[in-house]
Amino acid sequence: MRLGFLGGDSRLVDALAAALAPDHRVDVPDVRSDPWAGPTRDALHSFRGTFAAAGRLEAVVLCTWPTASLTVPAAAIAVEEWMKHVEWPIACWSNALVAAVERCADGGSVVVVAELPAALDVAGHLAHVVVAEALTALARSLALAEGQRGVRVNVVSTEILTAPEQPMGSPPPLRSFPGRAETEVAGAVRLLLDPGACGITGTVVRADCGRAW
Amino acid sequence: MVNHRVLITGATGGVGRGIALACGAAGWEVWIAARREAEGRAVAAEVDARGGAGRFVACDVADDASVTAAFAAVSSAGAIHGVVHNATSSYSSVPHPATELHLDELGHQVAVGLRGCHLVALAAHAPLRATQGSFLVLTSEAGFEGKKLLSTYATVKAAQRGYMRVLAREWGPDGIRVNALAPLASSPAMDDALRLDPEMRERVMRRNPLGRLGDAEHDIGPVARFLLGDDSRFVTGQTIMADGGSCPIT
Repeated sequence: MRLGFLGGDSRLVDALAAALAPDHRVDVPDVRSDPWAGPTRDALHSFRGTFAAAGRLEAVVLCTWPTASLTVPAAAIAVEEWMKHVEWPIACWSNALVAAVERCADGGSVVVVAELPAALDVAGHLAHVVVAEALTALARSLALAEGQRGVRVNVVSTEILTAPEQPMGSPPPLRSFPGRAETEVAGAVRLLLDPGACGITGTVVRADCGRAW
Repeated sequence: MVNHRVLITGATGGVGRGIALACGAAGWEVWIAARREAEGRAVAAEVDARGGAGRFVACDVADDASVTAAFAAVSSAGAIHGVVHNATSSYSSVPHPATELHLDELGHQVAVGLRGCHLVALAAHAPLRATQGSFLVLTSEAGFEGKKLLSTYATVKAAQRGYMRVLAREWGPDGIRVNALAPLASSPAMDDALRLDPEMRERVMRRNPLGRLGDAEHDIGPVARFLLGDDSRFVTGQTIMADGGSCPIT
């Protein structure tokens, strides 16, 4: 199985990539200006065209963990910060996800890794939640669209970046909460890439040690 | 004496209009916040005819200054008890394969549906905290399921649900309730979608146990009114499906 890996530039992403040992790793352009104008727009178009046109891959993992987090209440997010941390990542990762699906061979599998804290833990993490939900719906849409050629598209959600130090309510079932990139997250990704998961598409596997359900 | 004042974005037609009329029927003061003045004033007049008090205020939800000015205008009339973000992009019902991602279209849908939601929420926070009011986001079953031919719409609608979930937790201590409503109703946008994708009607109607599209005023409006009113004072963080049982997610 030829595995491709798309992600940003961070040690956590590196850890996941190392655990999955892809044949081909590509850094997704870091969007630092308006993706709907000028050079960034061109870069996104170019990235998608170049990546999708390269040789087919049987499996592609798209790790969307951001390099910088925005952890403030929604009411404190001015429109400029909103665009940087919500709108631009949605454009960047949507573009990359479509490219990943286009490059995936018939019968192949695409897995999106997204940070989506459990409902109890979402306060202060608006950007993570909104971006992850957006990408999850796009993954489901692509699963519907590409199922006819046997391509499966699924999501592994994580709480690695947003786990509270003191979780409210009942403690997470597994003491390993929130898990690690190289073990719990990589394991869930492998599960979905495995041919044994051939009947699983359009779903979300929560690799968060049972925090959400 | 106004006992309940609400602001609804994008209420010049469709589901937004239906919500406005249902609120008007309860005697509420309803502000139609929209870009198109003539259409907005027409709906305001319909609110009057239902027994409420219809008002129009110009508002481009994707523009920070416009939203701020709209809320200032409405606040000058008195306390705001409920706010509905219903405005949606004109691209939302234009079908294309999910693999044909158009950045311009995504940008417009995100600006109206998502940035608009955030800007309206920012402006609504203080007024709703003062009244222990209610914030309502119009989402869609597409936000649960994804859509093969309306993938960008589904993307934005799912993001709105995530937004609502965060806001409900953060604003609960302020006494503000935040919910989402996922309607399936006859509307200009739905009519467009059905016209542009002829097989969609068959897909939509076959899975709907009630066998019809909802009526924006009489099937959807009262549900929104419930979520905006005191009867739902212990309901927050929820997405209510008013879709005739269409969405198979329970």
